[in-house]
Amino acid sequence: MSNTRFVALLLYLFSTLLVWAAAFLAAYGWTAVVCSRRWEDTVVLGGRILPISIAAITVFALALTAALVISAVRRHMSAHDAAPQRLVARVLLTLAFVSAIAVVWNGLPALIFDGCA
Amino acid sequence: MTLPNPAPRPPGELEQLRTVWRAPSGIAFLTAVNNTYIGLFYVAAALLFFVLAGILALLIRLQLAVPNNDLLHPVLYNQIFTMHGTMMMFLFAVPVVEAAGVYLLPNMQAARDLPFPRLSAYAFWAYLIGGLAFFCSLFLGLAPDGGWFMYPPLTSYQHSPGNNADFWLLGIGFIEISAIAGAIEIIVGVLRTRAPGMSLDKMPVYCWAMLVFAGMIVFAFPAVILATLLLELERAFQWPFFVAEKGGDPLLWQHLFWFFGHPEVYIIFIPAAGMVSMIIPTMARTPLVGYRFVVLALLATGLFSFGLWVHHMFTTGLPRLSMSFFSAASMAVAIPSGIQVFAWIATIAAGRLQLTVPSLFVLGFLFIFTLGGLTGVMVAMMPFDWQAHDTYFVVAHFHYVLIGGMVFPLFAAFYYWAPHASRRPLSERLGRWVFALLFIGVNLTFFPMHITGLMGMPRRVYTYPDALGWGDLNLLSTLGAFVVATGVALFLVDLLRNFRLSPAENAGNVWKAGTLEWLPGGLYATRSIPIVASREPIWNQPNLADDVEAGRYYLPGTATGVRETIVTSPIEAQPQYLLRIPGPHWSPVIAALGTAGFFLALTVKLTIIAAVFGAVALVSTIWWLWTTDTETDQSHVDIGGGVTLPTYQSGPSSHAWWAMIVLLLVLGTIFACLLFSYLYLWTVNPGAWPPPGARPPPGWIPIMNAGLYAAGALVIAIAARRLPERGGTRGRWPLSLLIAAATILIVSAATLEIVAHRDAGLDPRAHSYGAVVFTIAAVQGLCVAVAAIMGLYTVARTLCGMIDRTRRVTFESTMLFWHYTAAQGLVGLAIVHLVPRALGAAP
Repeated sequence: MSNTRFVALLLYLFSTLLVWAAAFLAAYGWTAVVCSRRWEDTVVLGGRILPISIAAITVFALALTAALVISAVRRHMSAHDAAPQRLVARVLLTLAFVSAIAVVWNGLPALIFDGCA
Repeated sequence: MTLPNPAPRPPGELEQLRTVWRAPSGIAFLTAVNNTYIGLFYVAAALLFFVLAGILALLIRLQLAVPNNDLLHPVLYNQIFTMHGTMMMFLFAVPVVEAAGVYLLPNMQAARDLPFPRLSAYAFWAYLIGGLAFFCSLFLGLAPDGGWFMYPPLTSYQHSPGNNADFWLLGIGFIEISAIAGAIEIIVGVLRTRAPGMSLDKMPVYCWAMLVFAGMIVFAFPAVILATLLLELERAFQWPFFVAEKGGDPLLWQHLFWFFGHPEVYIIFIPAAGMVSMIIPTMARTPLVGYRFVVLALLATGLFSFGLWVHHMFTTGLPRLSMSFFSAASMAVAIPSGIQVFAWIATIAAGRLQLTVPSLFVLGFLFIFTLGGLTGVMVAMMPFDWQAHDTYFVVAHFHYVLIGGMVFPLFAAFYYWAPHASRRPLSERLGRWVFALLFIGVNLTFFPMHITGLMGMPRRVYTYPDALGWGDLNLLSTLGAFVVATGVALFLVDLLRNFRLSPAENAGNVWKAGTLEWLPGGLYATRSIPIVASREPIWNQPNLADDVEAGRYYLPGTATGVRETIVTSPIEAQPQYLLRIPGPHWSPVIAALGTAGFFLALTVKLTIIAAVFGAVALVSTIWWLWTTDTETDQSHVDIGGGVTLPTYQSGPSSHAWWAMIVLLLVLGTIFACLLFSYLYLWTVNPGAWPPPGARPPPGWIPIMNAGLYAAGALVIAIAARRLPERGGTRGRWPLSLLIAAATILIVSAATLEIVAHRDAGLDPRAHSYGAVVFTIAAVQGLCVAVAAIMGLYTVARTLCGMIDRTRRVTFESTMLFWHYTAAQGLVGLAIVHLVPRALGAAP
């Protein structure tokens, strides 16, 4: 495997954790903007803006994680792959599982607190 | 397995290898760059700072031993607790794990050295010189006194007008540089200099841990670098980033500091966990249970740790929902840490643990760290944290985490790896006493603090009245601190009695471990570089030690007559090229002296002397680099087994390319933190961004500047296609002129940007908007200045015939930096000029 492909593979390995990080930052950043602009009472799609938008971020992040899992299974779980590639695929799949739980876990507070108190 | 060099080796080959790797003698020994020496010096210096910071801890405990004590003046007490925290975190915890990595990684990977040994030497000397000067500020009454976290407004120019805060802000600048230099070395070293066959799935857990550790430094330290820059700009020039009445916000400091500060805990813990994952299998005589899960846990812990920083800010009045995200993440990070603990317990259960001194320290670590982790989950819950925040409960929690999670594994590592660096191991008898004293002392010191904290004793108070009833518990803590000190003193006695520095003739594989560092060898690491077929090669490859020592594996001597090691591919670890490693040189020592002197002189406002030191650092760095990136007459060499490797490599396969990419990640993170600061200040100034009276320059300015940056990058890209032929003089001047033209273009862009804001009447002292806009322009200007220096250096090498189509690594490094600078300039222009217009504040 070439070095440039290694960089891509490294990103791929971390991709599900990066999805969690992006969802986390998006939820936190968006909450900060909504609260600083006093938009928390705005109604979107029949609900208050924060729970709806954070639920959307969570669902989008889970969909991305699922897409990465499917791609990993198709690309790297072949019996012909060498041990390092299989290790990468297995670590990616386990990280995907952890990331998915973390994404849901981090989104849950939006169901409890929907204001900027 | 077929051995690459089965025939007997020619006479004199081993002696030549020894000669090439021998360190200089006499005063020139200071120029030694071997990872064995630098690693051990580094560990010794870190231990020195550990002892010094420990003495400060004893003074703190003496002051708090009884109520109404006046042993220390409150002003001195503030300096002492600030220095204790700062030194333990910046001068001991991070450097010592980095030092251990410098020493251990090449040995564990059977590399002859790390790829940039002079960088390691530079990092060590900058750290030692700067650290000692920083500590001495205590004797002059100039030590920082605002706590190791240096929160403004306490540390602002109004409330801390002396130089004390500057000593922290500038004084640790060299430590940040040193840490990042070490991180670059470790990342490239782990990924590119492993023994052939040591693919990622066979890499020791310690190497994984060091890789995660170094990656975390790359993304965490930039936040504190930027934070210190902003606070120093505020203190020196009154640019109000943290002054609320001028549109700033003290919480910006806390965000930036804890974005570094929380991962810092894991930066310290993860290498220690890696050490534990090496020691337990050896002592239990069985491979680590759940290797894959441990690797996964390291990766997940590393990344999750970046999502926890706000749990240090639960009492700052942030929205409850925002804090809830961090509370959830803080609880979630306990899971990967727990996975590792269960893997270690399972390994102990699967084997037969020998109760040696390293084992005792590991068991002590499991107990103390688990307790610290449990109180960590407690303070991760907001309602509990609101009660316990800033009390001694938190002091107890983080000492359990840091001492349990890092100091105990480190002592285990000292006893475990001492026979690798010494003629004889440390004493088992004394070691058991050291363990007992440390274990009892730590619990005696810090367990009562949970109770004093719950009784309401706040942190950082220099005394307390008798009536509050905290006296007995504090006296217990003080007694415990002295028990710890006795344990540390006994360890030093053990070192003095038994440690005999001799990396070339060590005590051998006394633990019967399975990893490569225990192969016989010398300053060159192993005589020949083995082919690795399992995670514990010594256990699984019969006769490995004898074959390696007899030179039957790769590269049994020196192929080009200088220091060299094999560079392998990052995943499968297949040999790619032979890296010729720079040897001893004065330049890293002088550059380190210049760097430390620059920061320290700047601290006490000696700007001319600072400029002289800066020039010394710059010139010696150029001197250092000038002697590298050379070629040899042998374009390819045979390393055995029919494998022929090139002796020079450029492009993405080159180790220099990798190092530059990591450096650019550091710079990119600093700039991202700066953009975060811009956007954060925007959110705290609703409706006033830009503030009344401040307007961005006319719209044609950013368009023109963007054109200049793009043109500069384009010219460099054209220059890359115009490199001279090898050995020919034709093409040197056109290339030089192209680089000069590109320099003029980007320097013009950076200058015009600053001038345009000034002409638009923007005042960086009036409002945080002006301050952050000028800082973005100044940081970009700094990158442009560095690019220009690199450009001039590249021109000089070109004109001297040291750059051509083959020997192009220097040019490629400059080109990578150039493209990064141009891209950063474009992003900066977009943020600074588009955001105000998007908000409708400018035409």
